[in-house]
Amino acid sequence: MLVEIENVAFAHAGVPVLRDFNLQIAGGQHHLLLGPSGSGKSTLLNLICGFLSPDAGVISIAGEAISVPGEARRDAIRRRHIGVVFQTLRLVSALDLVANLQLAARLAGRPATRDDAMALLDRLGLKNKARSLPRMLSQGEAQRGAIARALIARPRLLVADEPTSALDDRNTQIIARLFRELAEAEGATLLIATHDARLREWVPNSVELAPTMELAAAC
Amino acid sequence: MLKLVFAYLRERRLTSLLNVLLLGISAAMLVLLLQFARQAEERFMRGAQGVDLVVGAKGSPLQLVLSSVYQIDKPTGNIPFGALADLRRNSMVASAIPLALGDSFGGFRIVGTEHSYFDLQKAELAQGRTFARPFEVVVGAEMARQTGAGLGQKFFGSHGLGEQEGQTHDHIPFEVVGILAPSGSVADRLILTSVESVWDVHGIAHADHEESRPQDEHAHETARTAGPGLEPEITAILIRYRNAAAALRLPAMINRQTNIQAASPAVESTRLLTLFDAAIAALGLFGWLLAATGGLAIFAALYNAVRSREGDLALLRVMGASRSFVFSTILVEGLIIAALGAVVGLLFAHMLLWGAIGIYPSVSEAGFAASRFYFEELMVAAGVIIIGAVASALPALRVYRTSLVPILDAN
Repeated sequence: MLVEIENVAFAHAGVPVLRDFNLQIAGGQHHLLLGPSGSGKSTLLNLICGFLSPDAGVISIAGEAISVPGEARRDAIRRRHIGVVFQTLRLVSALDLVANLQLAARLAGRPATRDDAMALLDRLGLKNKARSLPRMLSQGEAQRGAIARALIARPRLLVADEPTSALDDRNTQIIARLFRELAEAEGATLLIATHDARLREWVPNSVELAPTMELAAAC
Repeated sequence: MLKLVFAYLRERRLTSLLNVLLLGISAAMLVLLLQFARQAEERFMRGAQGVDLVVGAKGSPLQLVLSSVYQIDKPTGNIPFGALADLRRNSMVASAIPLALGDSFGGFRIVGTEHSYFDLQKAELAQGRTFARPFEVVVGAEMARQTGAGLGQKFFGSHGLGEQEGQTHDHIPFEVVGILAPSGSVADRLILTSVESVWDVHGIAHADHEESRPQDEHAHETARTAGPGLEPEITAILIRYRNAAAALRLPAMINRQTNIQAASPAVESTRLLTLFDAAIAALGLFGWLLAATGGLAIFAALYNAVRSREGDLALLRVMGASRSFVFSTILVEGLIIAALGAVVGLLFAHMLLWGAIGIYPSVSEAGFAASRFYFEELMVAAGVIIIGAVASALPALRVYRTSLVPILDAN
């Protein structure tokens, strides 16, 4: 299994968000984490990415426990295995697109040449925007840039938090298709936390999280 | 990391530039103060070398030292020529060099003296020969450079020393027979001639000056009594002690006399430099306060930058950057601004000094040089960089301690 979540519990300010939660995702499987606001989607992603530590239970990525204490260890596991795309936090504002990709690759410990970065941007239709700063990009271009930034280090798990919430239907279709195609092309497993039901068309597997903050489903 | 840091600096180029300039101005001020203090001190020390005591007319001892050793003030008056012979007879005196001041040409002082003055100033001839007959002069290198004086050229001296030249002595011209090589001493800016020439210009009757040596007391007496009314006088005598005991006894002995005084260049220079140091210290404090203001500006700029860059910094952490990496990006940004400020300050200070030497004759006359570099300038640069480091460490620490999740949740 690429992602293993066993008996995880997490409370925020004393209020339980997740309780006795279990989830297993095999490599190559793509899943949506669905649920309304407050259902714990983002919290679950933060736990999977090692930004938070669970109060109980174990979370492993590619066999490495990311839920154990130790920020440096969690950073290292994230660097090795996970690429993350957010709704608005997409690219480093001071760097142009190609420099963003190169920095991401370097930080992940998989330095990419300029040609590698340009090739990926080409696949995303952003070759002509390579020297553009993020503020010069449209919403759709910036989100595609963020996907490229997350994929450049060839992660085994590509995690996205509400990647299409700010996009119109056309851009949502483009982004969703790209996520699916690129994840498959790179052999990455896709996990998208969203309340955007439009994505069901592209990612059939889903985990429903209930607003009661209780375990809703497990695969 | 540097690519990222420079990208952020470019993104805030105006703020970064202003911070660099603010620190640069403070560093320049500190370096200028240092340059002025050190070069003035060196000049004072160099000028007083070989002179243990100055004897001249009663008045301010500091004025006497400044006018006769450093040639930068008006003399306190004249003393009888006979005092020279008296001192030369004294067993505590190793050497006594007379100085006769009063006239100038083109702002450069005409000094009546003896050949031993060349040795005292370690001045050597670059061209020509030394003065041998009346109205022959040897000019300093700087004087020759500024006036274009050459061998064989003649000129008339004017009454007065420099700033306000008076009546021109147009009855007898001086002739340049020698030009000194640059020595870095006051001699660079002087016109040197015999004491007799100075007397002759003023119509003072005298016997041969060399006859005033102790072995020829008669001639000395002749010199004092010759002439219709104006007696031969000199302005000052530069004394070198024969032994250490002289330092205790000779000044007291001279000061007991009613019409002359003895002043120690070492004592007067130290007194002046003490006053000078206090002013320099006060200005230095102002300079460091300015540098601290620069540090505060860096702090404010980076603190605001960190707030506006919160998302970026969180993204870096998401991409796998450690807290130390993110901390370092802020710290290095501040350090680069401070280092650039220090470099700009050093260059600016030397350029200002160079400009001042070209524009203000008094700075040039004081012997300042723009190309001199002191180790303490590196200390100023290091101080400015440390201020930058402290100023940027605080916002960097804020970033280091920031929790990632609230920022991610907000985005």
